[in-house]
Amino acid sequence: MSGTNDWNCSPLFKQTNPRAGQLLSLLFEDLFKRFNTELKNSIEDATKKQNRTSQFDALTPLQNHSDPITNGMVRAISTGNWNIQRFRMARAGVTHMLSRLSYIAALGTMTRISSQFEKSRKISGPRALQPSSFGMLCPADTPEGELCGLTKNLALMTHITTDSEEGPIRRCAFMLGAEDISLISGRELNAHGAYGVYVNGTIVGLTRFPAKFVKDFRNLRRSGYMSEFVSVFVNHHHRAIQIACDGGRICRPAIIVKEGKSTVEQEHINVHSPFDYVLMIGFESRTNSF
Amino acid sequence: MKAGLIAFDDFLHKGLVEYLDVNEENDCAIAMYEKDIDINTTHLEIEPFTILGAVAGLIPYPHHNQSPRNTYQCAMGKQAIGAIGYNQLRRLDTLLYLMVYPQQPMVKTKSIELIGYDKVFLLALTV
Repeated sequence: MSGTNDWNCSPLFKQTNPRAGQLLSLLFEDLFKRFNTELKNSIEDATKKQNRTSQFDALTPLQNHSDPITNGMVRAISTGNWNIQRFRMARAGVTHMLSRLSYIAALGTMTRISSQFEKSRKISGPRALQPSSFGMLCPADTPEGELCGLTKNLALMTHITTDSEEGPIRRCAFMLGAEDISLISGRELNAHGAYGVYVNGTIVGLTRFPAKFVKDFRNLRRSGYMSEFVSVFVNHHHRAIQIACDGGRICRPAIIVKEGKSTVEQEHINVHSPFDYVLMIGFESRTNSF
Repeated sequence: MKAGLIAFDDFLHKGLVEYLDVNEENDCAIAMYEKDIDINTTHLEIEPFTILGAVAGLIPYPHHNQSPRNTYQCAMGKQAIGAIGYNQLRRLDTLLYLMVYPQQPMVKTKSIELIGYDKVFLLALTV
């Protein structure tokens, strides 16, 4: 993202948080592939000899190695050191102790986010409260001392996204009138008022009507045609419509306001009987169809 | 909602509520209260106290405190001793601190009810 405005530079803006599943799958992939090569090497070593004394059994090298996958996973999880050569990843402190000494301590640990910033530097920028984290991160809950402001806690209603499929999103973009980027020439690409449509940072198409595109896209999402965690926004500096459906973004819910009126009304709060519920569903499905 | 017939997911599916990420928030005008809605408003905040986290949500009247006091309480709230869960007597933890006579606080926050802290009633004396 461009650093044209101060809030554009905030860490949350482009940050995606690595998730447990992602890290675990990387670790498993590394261990499994290493296990395979080790097994292959030991079998090759054994079969290389010209005159063997006993019949070769592939099971014996398996039994001699003491569970490299299990032990590797256990070691990584218990120490928190994620050393994966295959992906050039060497991280310490990936796992944390979950204190069960009190309910609140357990809850507090589970909402914690630790920053990748180095704590040795004496700059206050990364430690400061960012306006962009309003409603996403708790403004009060941070430790004192060295880690102050670097370790954060999620606010109450936040949700961290998981990966969702790109293909349907891309088809949706074409359906809404984006033109395929592979059919576009340089002249059209640089034409006045042409906005690029990006899915997870990859350009897929072009549109001339960014506002309408985004409005239609949001309508599709609100009607449940795609995951509610897909985000779409316009970046006028880059003449870009960014669609994000990757994992690790922090989201929070908000009530939609239409024509200066909240869509959630007292009748939604006062659903007393199943009959009210049916009335509401019927009412909603008639008004929401477009 | 009140009768428990519809829940948050229904609001989401019916398109009354939607999730926003940080980037999309830049495109939105989010009103804090219903009275603040004007013609440019696109969204409405569900509840102002949800900007706080689960731990800071336990503090009664946090807006009457000096802000570092709230931060200190966030660190201290985790040290409270009480009941740790419904299964506390069947757990295999090697170390467990329990309070013999837990009490209910006189002043509760809505966050306490939301995270179910009052269900494992453990505040000794908050106010």
